[in-house]
Amino acid sequence: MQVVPLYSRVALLDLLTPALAAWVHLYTNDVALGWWTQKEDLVEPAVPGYAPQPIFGWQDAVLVGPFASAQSDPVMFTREDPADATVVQGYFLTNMQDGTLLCVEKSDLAPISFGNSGTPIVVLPRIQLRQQQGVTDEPLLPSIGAGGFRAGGSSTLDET
Amino acid sequence: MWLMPDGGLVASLDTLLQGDFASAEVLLFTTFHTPAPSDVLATYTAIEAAWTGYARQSPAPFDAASIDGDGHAFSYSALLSFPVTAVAGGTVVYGYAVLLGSDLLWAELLANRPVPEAGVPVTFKVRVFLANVPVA
Repeated sequence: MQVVPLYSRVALLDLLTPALAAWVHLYTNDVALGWWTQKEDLVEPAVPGYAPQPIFGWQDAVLVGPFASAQSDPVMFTREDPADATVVQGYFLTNMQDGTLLCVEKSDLAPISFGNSGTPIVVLPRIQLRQQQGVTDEPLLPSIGAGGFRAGGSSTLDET
Repeated sequence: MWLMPDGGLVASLDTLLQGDFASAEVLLFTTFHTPAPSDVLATYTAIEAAWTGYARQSPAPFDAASIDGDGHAFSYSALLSFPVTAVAGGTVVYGYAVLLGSDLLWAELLANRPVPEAGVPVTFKVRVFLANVPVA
């Protein structure tokens, strides 16, 4: 049985976030999200003034119940011409501006009007880790360890 | 809903296992202990192996991460080899812990527990994985 102790989840997340060169993007299409989701599935706003934004800093990870959570500094999106109605479903992070899709979050408030009233959208991107039930598998000689952790978060703990 | 798709799992695990992780160490513990969420590094240093010739080992470098059949991004460490010059009879390796500086990263109670013998190093690989948990 493998366990990532509570404060270790914070330490792991604090190792990960500063090593990422993460960029934040908005997306507009109400697409089903899952393990299969790719960056190409997510449609960014095609409005003047919109552009992906780099994340310049992450706050130290903290424990939220059984999982570690890290939030970046706030990222603001504005548009230049708020004449037409554009809605946003959520945000996604890539590693580098146009690199691998790291994670995606659909807002609980979606669809969100983007700039129609002149109000910018502020995103607080997050990454979370929680305990993954560990197993020892695929034994080699004399043994092989299995350790791990999960990206994600919830209010439940899935430990044994 | 927040989630990290497969591609993000692989990229995040590769990122995590590079950089500072290269200075992580693996210790073995030889007293039975079931890892618990409240554990700290001292939990394991207090029960760390102490046979003659024993020394902590670096798990770096890790393989490039990939996705397994269960949808986990995973990576194996380098083959760890813990020397055994002399050891008291009855010694059993119950598990290992991974540490970085003063931080305990994770620990595992092994199902297959090596019994060290003089002149035969204890060898194994650490498998680390990152799994997706969609958040409602």
